[in-house]
Amino acid sequence: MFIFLQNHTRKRVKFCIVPKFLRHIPIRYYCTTILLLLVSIATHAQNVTLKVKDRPISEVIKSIEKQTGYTTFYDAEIFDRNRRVTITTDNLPLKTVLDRLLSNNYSYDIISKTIVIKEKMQVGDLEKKIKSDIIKGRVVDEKGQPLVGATISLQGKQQITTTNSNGEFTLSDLGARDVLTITFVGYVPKKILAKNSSVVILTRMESKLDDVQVIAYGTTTKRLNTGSVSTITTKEIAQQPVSNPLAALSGKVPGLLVTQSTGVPGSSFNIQIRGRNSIAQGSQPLILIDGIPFAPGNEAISSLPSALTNGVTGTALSPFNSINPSDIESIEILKDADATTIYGSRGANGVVLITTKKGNAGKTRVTANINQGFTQVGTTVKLMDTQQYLEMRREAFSNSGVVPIAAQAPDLLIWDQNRYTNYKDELIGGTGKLTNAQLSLSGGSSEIQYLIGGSFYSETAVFPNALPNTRGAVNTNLTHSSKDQRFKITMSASYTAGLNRTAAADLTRYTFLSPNTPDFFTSDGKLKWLEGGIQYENPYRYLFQTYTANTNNLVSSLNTSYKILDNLTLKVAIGYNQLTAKEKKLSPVSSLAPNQNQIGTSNFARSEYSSWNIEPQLEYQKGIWKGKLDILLGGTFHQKKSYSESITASGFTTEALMESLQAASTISYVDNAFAHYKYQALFARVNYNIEDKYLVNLTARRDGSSRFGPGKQYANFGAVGAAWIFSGENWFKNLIPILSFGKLRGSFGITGNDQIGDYQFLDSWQAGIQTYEGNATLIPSGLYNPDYSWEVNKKLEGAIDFGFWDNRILFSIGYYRNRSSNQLVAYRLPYLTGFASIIRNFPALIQNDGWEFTANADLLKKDQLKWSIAFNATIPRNKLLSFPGIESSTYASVYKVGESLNSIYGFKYTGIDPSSGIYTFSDVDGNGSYNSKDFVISGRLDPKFYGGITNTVSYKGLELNIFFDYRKQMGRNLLYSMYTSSMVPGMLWNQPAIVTDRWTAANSNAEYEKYSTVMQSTADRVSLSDRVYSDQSFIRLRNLSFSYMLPMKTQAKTLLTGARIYAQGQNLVTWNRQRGFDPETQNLYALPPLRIFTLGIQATF
Amino acid sequence: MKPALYPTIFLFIFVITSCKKAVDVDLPINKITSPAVFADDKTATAAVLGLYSKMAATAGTFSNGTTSIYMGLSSDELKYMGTASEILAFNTNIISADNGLLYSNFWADPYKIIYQANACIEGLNSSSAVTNEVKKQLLGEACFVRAFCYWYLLNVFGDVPLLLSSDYETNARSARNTSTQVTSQIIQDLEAARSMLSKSYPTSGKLRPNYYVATALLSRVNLKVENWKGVDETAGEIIGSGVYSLETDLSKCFLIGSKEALWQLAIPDAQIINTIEGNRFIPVSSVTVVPNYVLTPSLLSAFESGDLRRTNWVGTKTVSGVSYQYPYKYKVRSNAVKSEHCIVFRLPELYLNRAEARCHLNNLPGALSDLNEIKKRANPSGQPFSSTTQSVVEAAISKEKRIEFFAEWGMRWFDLGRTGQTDNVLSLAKTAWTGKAKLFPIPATEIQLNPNLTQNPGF
Repeated sequence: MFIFLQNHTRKRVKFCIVPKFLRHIPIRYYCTTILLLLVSIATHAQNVTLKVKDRPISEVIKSIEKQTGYTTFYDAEIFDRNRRVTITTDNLPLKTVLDRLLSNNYSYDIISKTIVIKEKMQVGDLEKKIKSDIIKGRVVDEKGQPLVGATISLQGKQQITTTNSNGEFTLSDLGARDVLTITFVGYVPKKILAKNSSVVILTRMESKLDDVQVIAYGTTTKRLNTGSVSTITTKEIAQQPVSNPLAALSGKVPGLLVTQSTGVPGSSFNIQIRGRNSIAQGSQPLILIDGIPFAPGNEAISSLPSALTNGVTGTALSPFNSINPSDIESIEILKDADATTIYGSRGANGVVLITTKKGNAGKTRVTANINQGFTQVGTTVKLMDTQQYLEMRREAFSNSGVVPIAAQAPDLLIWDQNRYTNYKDELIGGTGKLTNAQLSLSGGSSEIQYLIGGSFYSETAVFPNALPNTRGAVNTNLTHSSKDQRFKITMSASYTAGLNRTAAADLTRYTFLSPNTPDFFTSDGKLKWLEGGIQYENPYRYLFQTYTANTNNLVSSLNTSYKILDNLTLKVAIGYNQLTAKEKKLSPVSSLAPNQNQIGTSNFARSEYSSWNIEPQLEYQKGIWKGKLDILLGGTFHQKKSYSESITASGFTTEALMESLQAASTISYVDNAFAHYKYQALFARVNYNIEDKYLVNLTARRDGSSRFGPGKQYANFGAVGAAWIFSGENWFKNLIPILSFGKLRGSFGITGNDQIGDYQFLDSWQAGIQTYEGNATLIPSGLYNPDYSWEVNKKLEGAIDFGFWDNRILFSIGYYRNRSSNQLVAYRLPYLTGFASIIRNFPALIQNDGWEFTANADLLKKDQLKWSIAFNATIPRNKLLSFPGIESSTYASVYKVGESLNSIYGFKYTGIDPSSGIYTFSDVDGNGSYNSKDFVISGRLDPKFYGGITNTVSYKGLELNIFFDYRKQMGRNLLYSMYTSSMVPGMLWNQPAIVTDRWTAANSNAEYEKYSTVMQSTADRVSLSDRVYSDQSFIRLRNLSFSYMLPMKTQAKTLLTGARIYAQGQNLVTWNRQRGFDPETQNLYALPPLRIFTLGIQATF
Repeated sequence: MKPALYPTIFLFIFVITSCKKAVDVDLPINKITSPAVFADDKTATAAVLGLYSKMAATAGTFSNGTTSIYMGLSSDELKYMGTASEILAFNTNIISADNGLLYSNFWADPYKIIYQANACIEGLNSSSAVTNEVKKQLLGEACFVRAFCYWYLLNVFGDVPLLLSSDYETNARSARNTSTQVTSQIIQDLEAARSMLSKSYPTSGKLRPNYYVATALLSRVNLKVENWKGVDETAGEIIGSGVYSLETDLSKCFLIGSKEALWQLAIPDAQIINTIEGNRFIPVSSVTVVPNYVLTPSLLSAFESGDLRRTNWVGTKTVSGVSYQYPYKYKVRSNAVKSEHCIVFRLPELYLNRAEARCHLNNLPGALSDLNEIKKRANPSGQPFSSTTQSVVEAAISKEKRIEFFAEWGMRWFDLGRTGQTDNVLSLAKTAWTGKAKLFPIPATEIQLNPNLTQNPGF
């Protein structure tokens, strides 16, 4: 704007529109007035005070820069920077000061926050310059690597270009003294005089705002992102001594709920992004590793029962047990429509992008990292001692009016009445050993970069025998760029072999054996089963019965790109992922109870998941008008296959041959299944960025999925996202000077959901489980519905981000609202129909909305001492907005309109009947019988809020990191476990000591009902009531890590370039209501998440 | 512009818009579509065999063992010695609407089979590819199986929804039909089966029902509806056919080749279990383990001296000096070689059914002759029973049936219910007996999912 005015001032242009009464005033006068007026607006508060005597002008300019925050450019050839000046100004406007400072030979422009000093030119001069100058330049990073796609814009003009694959750019029609602005994601923008731009070095940003964020088919920064994306860095993952990368996400990301199912090494973690969107529970996010869909997703990959199985959640071996956390560079959680719509239907429940580490150019670097540690069970619920237990049993028999007989009460009649064993110590009180080692080699030139790494991990169980969960992995990464940098190819491959060995059942349940249960071993070391002729449970059988899962996981991808034109690139991403799990479970005769068939049985199962993905893409970048336009057009071809088979062999002559099918006399159960999923899509994204201030992002996608019947396979989805970085506006900067960053962003879009399983639309029959008369049999596979179609998910989001004091404090508040309709439900049916459910669309509307807060603050940054805090919180809400016809549907007593899908909807507990001593419930309709008509909502199981807080303190090489996560929620309490497992107080099982506060005639005000040897008549109401839910809020000291970077001096004479020693602890302390009862797994009979301690060293050569 | 540009873009667009069939998938290896099932005799037969594979489920279900166990516990013939609370509930007759065993064995399983029978009937009726002869045979079998399932549903729960199509929309909301409606449908299905099934078995064994099997069930139904004449005729037809005869050697009654067996359900050869009854009733060999299910003193005392069934069909095991008696009709606990199949219908039932009917038809000599056929076989040296009083003969028949069919298909429980004696008998035998326990509760989950279902009184 100023250039415009200045030029026209000189040329005395004639088209200035001047009111008639001003015509008599010389034109120069009012042009200057307008100029001054504008300058004074622009330089408001930019006053300068100088008191300089005979100093070089360069020094004076520096002082002005310091006072105003402006940058100054001048051409050293024409401007004598050593010219000495004397000047005194007292809080005068910048312009006045500059006028006084510069001699008549020079003019200056003030553009945005830049002052450009020029030689005053004659008209002829100017024209000559413009014609002749074609500027060629190159943009590189600090290491000299070309920065591809950096944006070069000419200050104040509409000319914009981007660098090519060699980092080069060309601009014409400009003067040597014009100023270029060079920006690149994650780097500090640079302003430079055009003639000095032959090699421009950009430096990395230090602010968190400018850390690179991986998004769908590209990268951006938090600053420029129009969508909602959270990043977990490799550093945050490395701080946590966990073997499952999902574990490292717990409490770190707003809107992401991570829940561990059991503490057994290798077990599953459930992840959910922004609540439950679907009644059918198809709420799994899409998981991509380097852009390739992870074939098994987050489903359990095991099919045989073992200690990994959690009966309540139905989960077992986690597929992420095959992913090495230390190979991961970052994990991005994509949440809103803007970020996820490009994945179409697969992204309805959010997207998890896992990016693996890549090699960097430079000299060869070897990194070795090894740590060792141990694991143990934390505090557990206190159980009854023998006296309390026997008292309970006697009282229970007397309450039931039953005289105990030996078969039903061996604990009272046969077993030693004084014996006591703490089965917690015996069965789950062991110490697991943990070893983790990694070695990697990386380096390369500008043409080839590589990374080769290997890792080993082993963790033994806390059960009496140390069955280890081990994993070995290799990963390689190779990038090649052609000499002209037009062609680029990146190959990544990682292969993981896992061996998970564990007990056949979680022994935690058997810590509840009667505390006076006799010995488990006979004198000759065999399992003991009988005492006084009565058989009892022997938990060691589950250790004699071994479970082994071999997993192999190959993740490979090939990314090629070719620059057809300087601003047009063709890319093809190809990826293949294959995960196989081979399981075997051996139940030798020696592990069988006398009342079981004395036949050794081996179960074998094999599951194979594979997925390949081909994504051709065309990317076009161009400066248009004042902004940078980025267009992406692409297609996806995706296929996923899963195959599983299982075989049961029995009747082995010797236990040594139990893994040999030939040694079995009977191979009795063979089953195999196969599923094929095909998916095709066409997508487009248009991103337009005006001066890093106004950003618009449009996404469209057409999806086809094989999960739908003919005519229903295709659907269209789209999203729009926009952001306004208001801190980029001059007027705003002046309004609130402490605000260094402010962004308002919003998005809206429609995605779909096809998580309903394959082939559900087919009217099909399958082979029966059993043959009959030796002939094959057929049974219907299920009820079918050919007419169902896509679930629709509408996502809305608005957020505001702030940065204060040079972004030392970053704060962001977001509101999201997802509404999913046309619900695809496994509509529950009564067994009258022959099946439990059918897939169909339902006009139910579910809303997930909530607030997300994040804050990052560098509280202290003084010399070597740094203290920073990262905080996040989520307040989620889930609501069934409408469900037409729910009253007459099978969901009538499962969900309620206006309430959360995860409501506690059941009988209302009304205390203990003072006369009978058993739990009573509200008979809402007063008809004397208890059924679903008496159900009421008495709370919801969604967390009320959750999040995490990290404190990092560092001093010189020392760093201490303390991470808490917290959750306010209702959840299953220990009665849930007892009543659903039919292990209520009074039966032949030990109980938590707290249930001694039970009803007796004398203690009618008790907390728990009277003891009973059988389930009370109201017992099945208990598990359907709010009695089994209570406050399960917690704060957990999830992680504590301490590291020390060895000072360089001590390493001076070695090859070592860096070394770090560290100590880490995980799941250290939990504060919750019910001491010892894990509020996360909420299962009394499942191993709680283990405490982990490790000590390690990392060295770089 | 580079010459490579246009071809590249063209190729790109061509690639991503081609493959119209990109999202069509082949059928999974383990599935075929419904029309293909009824497109030839072989697959249609496999679909009907699927009914039996479900009925003979290795885990046990109402049609394979668990009726013998749980209905035996509910009556006065068996006592449970274990601690599993859901099984104990059958023994104490305090059964809740949430009992999982009741739900899966006696409700869900029969309805699953009924669904498949309905699907088979619909598929066969609409198929023109299946040959008429096979179609007739298969339709007869499907109708029979449907009637068989409804028979047990009716006797366990009373009124139940009567579903005759595979239409899940209406089935899901069905209310209960009256016992009369269900019974008349059972009779209709059995008559249809009789008109379509041949008198010989379709395969070499007796593993698939024939005309006589349908007739045997019809005689049972007639007994319940007190169509004495119908019982006399149907039972008489089977007895008189000469196809079946009483085994004189009691140890052969339950073998695969049993001459008195009308219909047997077979567990696949690959399984080591021969029958669920044998596997669950016979205790393990370990000398110290008490049998899980023992016969009650009241049943044991009902055996007359010299009754060979007491020695042949009752097993004894002494543990810690206490002797326990358990059902020992099936002799194989487990063996990969099959010598026994679960017998669903045995000829003695027809004799006793006819005896009871003749009694009501005032044909006492005929009744006594039938009764004594069974008594003589069990106790060749004993005196034939004789009386001229109808009620005395009736009681003798009832007692004989209790002994002949103990621990077999819940015969005692269903007979007590049929003759209205449950309260009288069980209030003496059980401490916690209440009248409501005569019928089992409709599973609570099912009512929850289908608001049109009502619960039995008292639950």
